[in-house]
Amino acid sequence: MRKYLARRALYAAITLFGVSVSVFVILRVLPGDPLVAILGVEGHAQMKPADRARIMADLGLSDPLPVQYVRWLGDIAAGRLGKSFFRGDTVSEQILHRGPISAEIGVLALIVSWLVGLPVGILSAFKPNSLPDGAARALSVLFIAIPGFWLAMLIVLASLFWFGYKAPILIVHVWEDPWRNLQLVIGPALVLGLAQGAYIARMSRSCLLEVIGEDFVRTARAKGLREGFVVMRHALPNALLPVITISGVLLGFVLGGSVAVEQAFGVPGLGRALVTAVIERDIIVVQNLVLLYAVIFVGVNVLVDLSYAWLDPRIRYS
Amino acid sequence: MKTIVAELARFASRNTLSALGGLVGILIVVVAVAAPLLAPRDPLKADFRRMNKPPDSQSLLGTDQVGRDTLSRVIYGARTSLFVAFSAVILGTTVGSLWGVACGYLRGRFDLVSQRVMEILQSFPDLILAMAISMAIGTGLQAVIFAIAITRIPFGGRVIRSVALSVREMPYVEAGRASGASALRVMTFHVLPQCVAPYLVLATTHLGVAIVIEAALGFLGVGVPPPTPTWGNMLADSITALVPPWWLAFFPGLAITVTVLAFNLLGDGIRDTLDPRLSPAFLRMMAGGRRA
Amino acid sequence: MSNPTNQPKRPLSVNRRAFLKRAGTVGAGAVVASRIHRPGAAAAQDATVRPDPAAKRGGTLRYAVHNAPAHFDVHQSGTVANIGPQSPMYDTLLRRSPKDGQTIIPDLAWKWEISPDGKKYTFHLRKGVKFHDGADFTAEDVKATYDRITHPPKGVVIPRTPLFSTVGDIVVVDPHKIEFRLTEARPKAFMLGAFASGWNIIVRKKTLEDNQGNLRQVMNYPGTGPFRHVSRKDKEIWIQERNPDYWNKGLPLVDKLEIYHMMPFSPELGSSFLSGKVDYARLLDPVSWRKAKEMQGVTATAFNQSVIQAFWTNTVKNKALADARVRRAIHLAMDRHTLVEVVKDTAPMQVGGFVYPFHEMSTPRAELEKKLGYQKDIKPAVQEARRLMKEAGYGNGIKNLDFVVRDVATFKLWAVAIQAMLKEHLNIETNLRVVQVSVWFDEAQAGNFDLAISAIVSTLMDPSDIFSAWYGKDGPQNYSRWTNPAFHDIASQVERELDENRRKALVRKAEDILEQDPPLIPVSYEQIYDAWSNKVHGQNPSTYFGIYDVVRWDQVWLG
Repeated sequence: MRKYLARRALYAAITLFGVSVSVFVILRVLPGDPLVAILGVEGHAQMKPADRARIMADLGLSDPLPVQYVRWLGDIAAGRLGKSFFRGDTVSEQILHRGPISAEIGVLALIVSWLVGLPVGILSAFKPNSLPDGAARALSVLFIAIPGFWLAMLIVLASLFWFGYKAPILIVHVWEDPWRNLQLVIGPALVLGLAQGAYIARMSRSCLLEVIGEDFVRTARAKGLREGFVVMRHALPNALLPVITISGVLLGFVLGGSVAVEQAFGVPGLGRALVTAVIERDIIVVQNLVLLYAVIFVGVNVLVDLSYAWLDPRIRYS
Repeated sequence: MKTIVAELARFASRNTLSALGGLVGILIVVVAVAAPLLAPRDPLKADFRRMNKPPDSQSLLGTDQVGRDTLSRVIYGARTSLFVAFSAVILGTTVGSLWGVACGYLRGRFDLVSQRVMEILQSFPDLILAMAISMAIGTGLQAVIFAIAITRIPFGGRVIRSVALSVREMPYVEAGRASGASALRVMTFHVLPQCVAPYLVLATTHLGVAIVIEAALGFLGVGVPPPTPTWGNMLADSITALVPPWWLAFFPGLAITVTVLAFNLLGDGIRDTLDPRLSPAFLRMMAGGRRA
Repeated sequence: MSNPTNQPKRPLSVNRRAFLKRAGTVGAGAVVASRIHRPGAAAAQDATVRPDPAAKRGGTLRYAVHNAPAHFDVHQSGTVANIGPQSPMYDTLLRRSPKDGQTIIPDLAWKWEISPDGKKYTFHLRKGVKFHDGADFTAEDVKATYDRITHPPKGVVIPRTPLFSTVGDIVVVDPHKIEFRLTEARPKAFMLGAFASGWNIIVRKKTLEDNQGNLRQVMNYPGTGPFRHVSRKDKEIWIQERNPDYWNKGLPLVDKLEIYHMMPFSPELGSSFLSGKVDYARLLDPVSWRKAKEMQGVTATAFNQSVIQAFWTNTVKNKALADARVRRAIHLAMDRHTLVEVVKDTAPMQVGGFVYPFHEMSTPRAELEKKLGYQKDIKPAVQEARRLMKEAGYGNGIKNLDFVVRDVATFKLWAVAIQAMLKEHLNIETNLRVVQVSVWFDEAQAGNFDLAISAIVSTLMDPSDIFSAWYGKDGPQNYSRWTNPAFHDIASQVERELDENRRKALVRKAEDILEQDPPLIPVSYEQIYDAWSNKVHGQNPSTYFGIYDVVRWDQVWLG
């Protein structure tokens, strides 16, 4: 186990390094001229060279690339996450202020997905090809296909139209006013959670079906143990493993999807900040927020792998 | 020809739902390709006498705020969305697969480094990576295709690599190597054919994802720029008024849902047929591949 | 489309014609001066804002307005995104009375004198006024502020500069008396209107020195105003609190301002107001406004606005657009009535030309709508447009114009409609590029566009203001970089002409030149729809002509 941990940590470190280089390459190197990212392709072409030089010097963009990269990493390590090009708000302020909301949405979505997906999947596996199973599978397939941001749009419109309800405008953290905070995060959490839940339902159903057919379960049944007990004790843990792993992948969907869903619900989370920064071509903000998202994703996946390894006796006791 | 038909019939009888999905998918592709023939009006033409009209006999799906026919825009939207999705998936999956074959067959340092690179690519949430890339290379059809394609590469790389790894050990491949054939030859003639099936599965499974990413980019305002109608753009434009016309908010989203559903069902069926053994393992690969 | 509620009163101070007519041209200075300031009755003259005796104190005003400016330098700005949230923190030399939005009353200057020849303006400044950081307010601060406005340093562009084009020296007589010496006399009402503009906030000399004369990135520079900065969350809210040391004792009446960020005409703004989340909503969309009118306990009003919605044509960068015939063709190809119709559920608009359609100097609407380009039936105009394009050598159209669109619902809808009109009538193909307001103004200043659509304001409604700010050679808002010697010549005559009828004729002549050689392509003129909960007292914008002069909220109370 310890060897596995060490190897995993090493890989994570390499990945993070690679991620930072990728972000840097994409936003600084790819367009050739970093100002293209800021000004857009046409805008850049129309700028006078003198102005370009001035802006680049201002942003520290005229130093050699490796120098810029190292400086960037140093800034991040020191907690200097940069300022918005326009209004000078620091990225750290934005992260501290909006981050908790987006994080809450992510956690709630995960909880919703497990609370909805697992029972549905398990019950489906118990009575395969029955009517409830068919309905569950149909709904799952449907929820996977519906774009989250569209569902969000429809919910906002319906609640405004039919109930005259509008969610709070300002960010209210859960420790400040739990009820208003809930109103803020419940929409995105439900939409994202239900979509994730659909995947989990399908996944757990197929894995469980597979396991139920396996030998050790048949043995347990043959020993005369009750069906439910058999499932809980033997089948379920095996079915859970892939679910945990897939939750890691699904986190990627959630992180990405949350950007569009936050926008559709009008929730002032980190996703919206990223979208605004991309539209405003606020390069420093985009760079650091993209890095943040990637770091979170890598981090969670490491945790998932570790928990998988811990749950899988073959690895835990190696 | 007869055998192909027979195969298809067998497929359809075993996986009716999937076949249905495939049929709908083909229908949508036909609609997209035949857009100029099928669309009742020019999607870009603004008719200022018929602004904001609900669905009626003249405009089956209504008109938008500048009088453009929604049905025509949805049809042309299919064209753009499908073009982007197909191009991105084919480009990304092909590049990824070829890379995967090379990794799986050649192994060694090339494989090690490639694995890390793919892992790095997969460390970014899809939509966010696509947004960052399109910010760097500009908006426009090609940029969006390129951006989405890059997000698909690691999936192809992973899966095809495993296939290549297992094929590599097979006797006839060993024989080929022993007889002095070059690595390239072996890869092309022995390994690649085995990858066709998984490749098809991958491509169809990712089609739906690509469509949704493209729509999300359009919705956020960083996708294919106006006035080209895409389903995502149309949804974003629909929510400009306090009480948006319901037909503008509903139909483009419905189109996305139906299309993604169709291709997902098709993908499920193809996966179940082409290699049912791959099924849970495949999923595990998708999910926990970095452990492999 | 006329103003459905009130006609704004023709204000005394803005209408210099009436002023001087009453005074007679000779001795105008003395008479004008006497109307404003009776020598010897110093204290009684201080007619600044006083609190309503019936007012209750305290409470928090929740006010929703566009609140995410591209930068924080109010002088350099022309958008409500700055003046909306920042105005409560600053004072000006003179101000428009909140009662009618028009009468000019004392502010930081408690009395003023104008020399008989109209070339010297002396302001007596209040004593004991402090900036929010504790520093004393003196004439040096006024001088630094106005030196900046009248002669901005390199890299700083201030839309109000042309108003003060004849200001030569600004002399500090003593710490509480300052003189503006004009090289050439200007109409008193015009100059006083300029000094009373809400944009000309007084800042500290030290602030300008400490920041190399550029306040774009300085969120919280000290002012003398009734409110002071507490906190700001980007794109969410700006919180300000009552300034306990405000020089105007008894004001402000509310304790706190919560300024929410909401885009104009957005469904967010409308639904927030209708669901009671904000007390005062500015720039509502027509649908929400109509709903607000029907609500109990809510007042909704409309008033005119010193803003033009237009798009600019880059005459420097684009050869085709440099040709006046091409621009007139584009001008004629616009179906203005339809453009107003396209946004009718998004924002309240009215058709207009190059000058404010509701200003007395301008061509009356009935006459305007007979001209090509303003008619309901656009066929004759389109025919003429096509002829012009052919004559200029662009009979086959123009391709690949970069059309920069400011990210507001109205501009996005118009851009699509204009794009369609240009393609259909003139075969001009444009590529839309939607950008945030911050980016739009930068692109416009830098000339990175072929066509660019947005809205711009003027400080006064008087043609002289817009003829220099919008259409003047190198005018700060002349994004097309347009110039026409005949026009500039007439414009300077308009500035100096005293006879009303002759001036009107000159303005018409100028309008005709603009029609033939458009410096911008007018789209429409805006009305402002405001709505507020009846517990908000003291703000009655129905007599205003703009939203930039009476936005300090010092006299507002909740009850």
